[in-house]
Amino acid sequence: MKRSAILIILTIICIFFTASLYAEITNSNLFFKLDSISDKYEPVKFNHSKHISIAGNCGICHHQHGNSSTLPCRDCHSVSPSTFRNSVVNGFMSCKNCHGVFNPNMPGMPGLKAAYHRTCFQCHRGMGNVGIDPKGCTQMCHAKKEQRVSMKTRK
Amino acid sequence: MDKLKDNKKDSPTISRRNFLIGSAAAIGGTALLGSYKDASASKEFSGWPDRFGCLTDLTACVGCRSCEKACNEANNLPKPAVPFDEGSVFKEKRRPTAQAYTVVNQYKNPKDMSKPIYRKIQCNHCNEPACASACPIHAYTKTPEGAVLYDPEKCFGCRYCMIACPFYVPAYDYESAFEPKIVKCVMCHDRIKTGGIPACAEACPVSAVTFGKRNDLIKVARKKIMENPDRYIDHIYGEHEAGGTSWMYISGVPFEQLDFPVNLPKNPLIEETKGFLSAVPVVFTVWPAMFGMVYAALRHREEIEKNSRHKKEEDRHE
Ligand code: SF4
Ligand code: SF4
Ligand code: SF4
Repeated sequence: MKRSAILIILTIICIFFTASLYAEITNSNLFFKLDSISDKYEPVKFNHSKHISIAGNCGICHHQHGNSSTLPCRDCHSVSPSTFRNSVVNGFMSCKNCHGVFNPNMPGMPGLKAAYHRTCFQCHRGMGNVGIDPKGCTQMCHAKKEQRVSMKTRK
Repeated sequence: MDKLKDNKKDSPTISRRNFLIGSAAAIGGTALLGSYKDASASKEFSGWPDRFGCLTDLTACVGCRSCEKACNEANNLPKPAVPFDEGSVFKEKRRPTAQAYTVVNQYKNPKDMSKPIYRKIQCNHCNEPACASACPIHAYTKTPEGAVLYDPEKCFGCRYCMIACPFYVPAYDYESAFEPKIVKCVMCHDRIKTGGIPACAEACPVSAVTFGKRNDLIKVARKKIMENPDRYIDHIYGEHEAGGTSWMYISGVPFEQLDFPVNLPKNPLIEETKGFLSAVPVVFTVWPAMFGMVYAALRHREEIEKNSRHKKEEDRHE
């Protein structure tokens, strides 16, 4: 009896905690500017909040590794209520801490560019021409530099 | 590339005639001296231990043609008539040419019609390259890094390598009829020797082409196949084909559906071409006849391809 009471209380705490964390991330209406190849393309404006509301679950994008050989959550985020929130919200751990520049000595670890694109393509491949036709790259995300300029001059 | 150009400047110009005579003598000599002992020794050589390779994940490639563009720039090749962001090139099946060392072709995906499969083609850098053993003047070398290189200065355009290659890779530069030469992907040897990675692998947005030590890549491939049995078929193409290649592939559909040659022996083709090599002195005595046959064979193959391409197009139109 006592044990199940403790379990129920723990579950309630967990739900509250997750809900508040979720609210905090969605409310912050976060835009990321991805501009590592901005010499060729305009930076990609990535709307994080929008993606959270569509995906509904951090794991769809962030822990999609989905198998035992990749790191469990706690290796990047310390799993204690006081620090987990900080480590997620303030991005103490970012993708590039592991997925940096591709290293041929560790071919199993995709570089940052590949890790991003693979994640995006999980849902975006096949939307319009994305991942179907070479032109698709510039249609949804990577506006070519000249394209933007010509659009501005047209105004 | 610059290095190649420098070489060109330094080397004395030899007339093609003298060169042929010289190489005939040299080959006659080596063929007589080189006995089967050497041939069987090479059979046991399992390759340079730390050689590099690439693993193409055919389930990841999205057909963006960034690799083609990167290869073009890295090798200072002429600008193509059709730009690299053009998808209409997928209408026909292309092969590497003297102007494009790598090309990407599109195939129907039986698992999901809305997402085609793309196959990047380039030299596979065989462990025991048939092109090298067929070359009568040893213009080819297998480097310790894994790349199979050719010396354009030595090549006199006999095109034996084109016939010997099981993957139809070496392309003939018809543009320069007076300085004939064979050209193909060099695995960006200059780049990998200085710690870099091939231009195409670097440009690939999804790392569908992954560069690394061949042994590591086999482990990566095995792991991917084991962890995603629904996504991949249980086969690493190039692990054993034709004695093994440095460039390997994993796929979601059987390789024959993507036009990979699947009837290749597990043993290196070199064992068969060795016999061919020792027959070279005979070749020189009947040179014109042989050359005629080679030419006829080439024409025949081109004809067959042309026909089959037409047929495919007709099929599509129907
Ligand atoms: S794929 Fe063809 S050209 Fe490349 S190394 Fe093998 S035999 Fe030679
Ligand atoms: S390895 Fe280098 S030469 Fe070969 S296809 Fe890739 S970019 Fe071209
Ligand atoms: S760059 Fe990569 S994804 Fe794009 S076509 Fe080449 S191999 Fe495929």
